[in-house]
Amino acid sequence: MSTLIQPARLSRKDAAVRQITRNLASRPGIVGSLLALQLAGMLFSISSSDDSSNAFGNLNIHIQNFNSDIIIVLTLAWAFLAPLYLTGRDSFESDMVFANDRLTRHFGNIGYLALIVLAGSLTAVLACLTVLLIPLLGSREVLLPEFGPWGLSGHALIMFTVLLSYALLAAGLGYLIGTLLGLSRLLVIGLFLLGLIFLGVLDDTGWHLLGRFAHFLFGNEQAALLLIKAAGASAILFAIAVISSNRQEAGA
Amino acid sequence: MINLSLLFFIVILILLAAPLRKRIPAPDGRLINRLFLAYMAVLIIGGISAFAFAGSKAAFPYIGEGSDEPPYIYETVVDEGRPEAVPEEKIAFEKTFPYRGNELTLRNPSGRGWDSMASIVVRRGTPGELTVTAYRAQLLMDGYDLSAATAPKPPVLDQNAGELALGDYQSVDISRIDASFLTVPLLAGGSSGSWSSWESPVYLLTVPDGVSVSAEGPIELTEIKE
Repeated sequence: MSTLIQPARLSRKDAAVRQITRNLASRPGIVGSLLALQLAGMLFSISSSDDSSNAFGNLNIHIQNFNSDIIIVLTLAWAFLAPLYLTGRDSFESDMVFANDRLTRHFGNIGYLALIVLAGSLTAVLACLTVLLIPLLGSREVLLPEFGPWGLSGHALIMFTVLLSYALLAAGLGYLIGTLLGLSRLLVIGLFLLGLIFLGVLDDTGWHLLGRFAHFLFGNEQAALLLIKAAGASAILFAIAVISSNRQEAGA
Repeated sequence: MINLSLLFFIVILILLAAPLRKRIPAPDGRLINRLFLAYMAVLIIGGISAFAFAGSKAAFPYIGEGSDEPPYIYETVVDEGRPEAVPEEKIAFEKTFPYRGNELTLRNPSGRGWDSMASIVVRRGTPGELTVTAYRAQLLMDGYDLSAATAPKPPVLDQNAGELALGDYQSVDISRIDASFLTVPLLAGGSSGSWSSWESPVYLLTVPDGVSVSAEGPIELTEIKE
């Protein structure tokens, strides 16, 4: 009796979970690039601080600014680029060897993406906190920003929530664009130009669709609200990608 | 701003490592995952220690931009001659020396010249005692109160020469941590680069009757007539 597991016997859920674990085990490029980018971001953040001096009569105030935004920016760029690698043609063909069908492949990929975006956001916020050790352990006086009612932990929590929202949106957008690029490059360029023309015409009529949408998505008072809206928006992006990839052909 | 020399260095490092890439087999997923988990563990320790150290550092309180305009000490003390009207918390320090001499020379050892003027108000008081009162000038940057770091230094009295040396000009070094751009619409206290006005230091000098006071250096000397 063969000990091989027959793909046909796998339920859809099992196949998706299998796809997630396979992604985790066999895609060192994605996690490795995240690691490299965040380490580079930490190096940049430590080494580049801008100084300013102000003189007031008998007083000279020298301020060194520490900023860790570069870690966040690199993480967001990675969140957009990693799904392009996942949806590429090579990856599609190798995925079709293992996965049951397109749907389980997508579920597995999306689950994997959600998992690593979560881990990446967490490490990005932790890296921003760790970088704070450099000024905090120095001998100078430290001016901490106004962190809100919950102090540094509240600030870190808000940072994590907002970063996770942006990263989910970036990942959804990257996944959609990657899938569409797998279908046809001409289609992506055409859709992009058509979208520009459409938005331009709408702007001329005074109905700023993109601005209104951005205001709806990002103009929140609460970070949790942003996370809910961003998760919804990225779910829509993923869904469009899943539906449009039905036309993608394996082995083509 | 990104440190461009570091960017240059990293690009060169990547270019130098490119030929090695073919010789060394690509690391497998398990190794990278373990490296990532180790990185995460280090960051968790780093983050927790950052919390601990941030709590132990004395903070500059956030007052809010332009919300708290300090009462002008110069106006009250020098122009109006009413030092009693200044509230208690605006006094940085009050120092009393025993003094028996007949002449007192004030010295402002400022390397900045007339830019760093000090205003000194002389008042007559009890014999044998010399009291120096310095006022706290509030300095706000982006709404943060820097007074804790900018308090004037105490003066030094040379009994034999009859010389009172005021604190020299101060240099304050501050490491400022910027809030992340992610939280800008959600939290107050961003950086707009605004500074509140800064008053030159004002000292109140209580000297015994009969002591003549003279000034050296950038000092504006006034006397309260009673």
